[in-house]
Amino acid sequence: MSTSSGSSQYKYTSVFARVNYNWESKYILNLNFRRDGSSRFGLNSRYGNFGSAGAAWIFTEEQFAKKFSFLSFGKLRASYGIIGSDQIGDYQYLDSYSSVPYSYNGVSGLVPTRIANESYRWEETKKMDIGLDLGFFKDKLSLSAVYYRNISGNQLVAYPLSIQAGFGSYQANLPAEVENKGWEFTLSSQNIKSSNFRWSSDFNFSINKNKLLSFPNIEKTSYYSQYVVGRPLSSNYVFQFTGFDPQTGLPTVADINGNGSINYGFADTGRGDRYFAGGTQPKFYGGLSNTLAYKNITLDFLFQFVKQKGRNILAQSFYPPGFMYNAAAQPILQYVNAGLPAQPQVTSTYDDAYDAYSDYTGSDALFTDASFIRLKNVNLAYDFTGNWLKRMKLQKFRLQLQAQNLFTITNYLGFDPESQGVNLPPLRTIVGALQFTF
Amino acid sequence: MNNLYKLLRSVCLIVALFTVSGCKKLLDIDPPKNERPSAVVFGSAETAKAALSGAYSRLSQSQTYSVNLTLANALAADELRALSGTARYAALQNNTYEPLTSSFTSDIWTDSYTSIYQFNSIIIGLTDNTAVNAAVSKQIVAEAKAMRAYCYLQLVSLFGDVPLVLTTNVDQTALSPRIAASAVYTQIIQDLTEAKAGLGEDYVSNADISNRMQANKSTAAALLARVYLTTGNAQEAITNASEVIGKTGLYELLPGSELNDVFLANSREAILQFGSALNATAGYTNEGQAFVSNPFSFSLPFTLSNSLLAAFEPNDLRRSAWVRQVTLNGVTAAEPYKYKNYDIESATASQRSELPTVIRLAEIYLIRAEAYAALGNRASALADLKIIRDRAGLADLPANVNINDAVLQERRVELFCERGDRWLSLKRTGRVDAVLATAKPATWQSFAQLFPIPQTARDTNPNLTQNQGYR
Repeated sequence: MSTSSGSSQYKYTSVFARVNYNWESKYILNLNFRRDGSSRFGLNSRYGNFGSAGAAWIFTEEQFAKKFSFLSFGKLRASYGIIGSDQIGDYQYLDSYSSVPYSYNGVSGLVPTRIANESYRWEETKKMDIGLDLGFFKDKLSLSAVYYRNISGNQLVAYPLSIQAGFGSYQANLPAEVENKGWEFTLSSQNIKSSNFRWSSDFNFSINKNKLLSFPNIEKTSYYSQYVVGRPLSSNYVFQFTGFDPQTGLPTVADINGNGSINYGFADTGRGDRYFAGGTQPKFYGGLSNTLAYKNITLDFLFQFVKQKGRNILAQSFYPPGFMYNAAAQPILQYVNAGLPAQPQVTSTYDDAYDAYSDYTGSDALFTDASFIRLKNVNLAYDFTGNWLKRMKLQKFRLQLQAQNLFTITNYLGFDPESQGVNLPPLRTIVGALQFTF
Repeated sequence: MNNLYKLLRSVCLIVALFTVSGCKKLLDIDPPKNERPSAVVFGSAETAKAALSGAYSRLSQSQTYSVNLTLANALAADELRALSGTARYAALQNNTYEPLTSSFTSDIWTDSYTSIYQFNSIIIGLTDNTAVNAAVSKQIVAEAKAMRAYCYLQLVSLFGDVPLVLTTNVDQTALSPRIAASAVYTQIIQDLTEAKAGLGEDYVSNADISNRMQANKSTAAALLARVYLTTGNAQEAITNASEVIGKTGLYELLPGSELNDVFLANSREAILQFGSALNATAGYTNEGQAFVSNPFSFSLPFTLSNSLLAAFEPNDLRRSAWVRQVTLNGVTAAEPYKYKNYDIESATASQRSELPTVIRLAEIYLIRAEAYAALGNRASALADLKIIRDRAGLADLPANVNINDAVLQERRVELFCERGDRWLSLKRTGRVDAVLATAKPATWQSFAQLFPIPQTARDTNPNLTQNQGYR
């Protein structure tokens, strides 16, 4: 049995000033300034100054816009700001020892808590966005388009350390700039609106991109094997599959850096043979939802779509065929059948066959289209009406049927293109409900 | 307008005040109740002792130092075979361990450097520190240096060139490269020499129970003998070994009739023992738990290799005391049986408390024998071997025996499954290729005598090179 106890304190203080300016509902300007202090930083870096400025022009209020009667609303907006974050654990700057629940030779022990860092400071993100909001036909159709670009600097991270330093990581700022940018579109429409029948649709579409803009001297840091400047932070680095060796029957991959052996490092940095095969973020994604109401019946449904590449389930299977472990049959058979027609018996040592298989599972041979369209949500409801409701003192009596993840259209080989690998897929749930409101 | 101006002025004033003063007090917080700032820890003898105790306890409870050193090295050499088909055991006994997947070898690296950080932190915390009583401080620093040297000795013997980290400053430690094994040995010798000068003759005992759980002068001398033997300085090995052997008030070889008591807590043969798996009174060791089958075992985990069993001469008392023949479900195993308790219940039932033994006197005789042989002093080497063989109930060796073979053979049967002695002896004597190519003809490759540098360590330090032969 062991017991442990702990305590922590966190204090945050801030002062801010705001100016809003609105001239004739046409020109809008707002300015914010704030100074924040957090006890999560070392004594000399507790405070940070942040602020933002935004401007909007509602041009449908201008005289010239009145000519376009179909245009009911139009707004052009832009903003720029710097925001700070202190989302880290408490006391990471504190050089301290902690008690352990064991004693050794009659003395209860103290062990170092962490590698303290006095110098990390506020994480800063510079946010910029430009947007256009439009309303047509008395706002029956509305459209908005936004372009954004955020650049994060000094990101607060658990900075990885080679264990020779004593700990696997410590709290620090990432001395790098990371860019997130993209487009977001939404379109809403009231297609039909009559006394008996209503139909409205919403459509949204997003394209996001992530990139490591700069990381000075990355080759001298523990991130050299993790990130490549100019690439997304989360990327697929894989071996290039070059078919099966006719002699041994084993899968082979390309020696991209030409050093005579297959190495795990990045081809980009010349330290290995894994090349950049795209980011792990989707190319684009979005959703289409519809609401239909006819008299007492209401139907909502939402389609979700994602365009992306992924790796099939074999990428998470560490044991080659023949080991006493469960594995998904289809990708394993695909691997076995992909071999030579007259599959030679593998007579190489444990070493070579195992390595070849593990290279194969880390190669682009497992790349597959993981795009999908999914009926994410369906909701059908019927509201009963009539005098009998009143007699039963009911305000409302509704019969409802809800379903999630009813079907998915995909070519992905594995459990599910969204969760991928050996992970629990989104569950299909169907719920029937009777709702009484008294 | 006038009002707006006044408002703006007061806002500016408040912001300016806030900016200038920084309102430091607003953010003052107390340290967590379970943490003490390092300055406080090294501000009194009592807490400094607690830091040392914490370092011993983490080291001795780590997977590596409580069982895996013995297990991994015995499998990598020709002592032990796994009876289960577990892949990580197979990789060790076939010597096909790899940088990315071998958890045993990477744990040795991780556990060693984690403990080295603690010993470094103690040594630095007490350097130029007047707050702690000078005698206490000297003792703690000497112990920390002895144990830091012990950790580096494992690293350099198993991985070859390794980073030499002697500080806690992350800017200096995180990216330091591997340095030549010879320089690491130089540091080990320096640490042990300083430790030997600073340590007392007797063991530190805090709980009024006499024990051998913290390094004393003889611990440093014994480790020095081991290091000097490895680095080829036979004369110094003999000097240090003799120093330990001469401490007859502290140490003696238990008689052959008491071989079962050699690994008990506070055994008179022990030069250093670790605290037990859970606490000093648990009475069993992780090695016992790993090797000894119990009434609830479904299968037998390990067996000593046939070649090791064949190496015992007839009527060797060690064969009957330290090896146990078991059969379960038609499988027969010869279990290492130096430690006999496998859990708290078995320790309570046997009323015999065992502790992991790090170094013991028999090894010191064998170190001295090997060093005498290296200097061509056959008579003295044979005399030391005779002491070990007499205790095991064996006859004297013939006068014309190959003395080097005889020392290696005696080490093999005396020190089997003790923290990798066989594996290190084969490497030290340059026989590892010849012996293991015979023992494992299908899988032995010479480069495997050095373990791979863990991939995770290399991923986070671009300056770490890999040992030759690994990908």
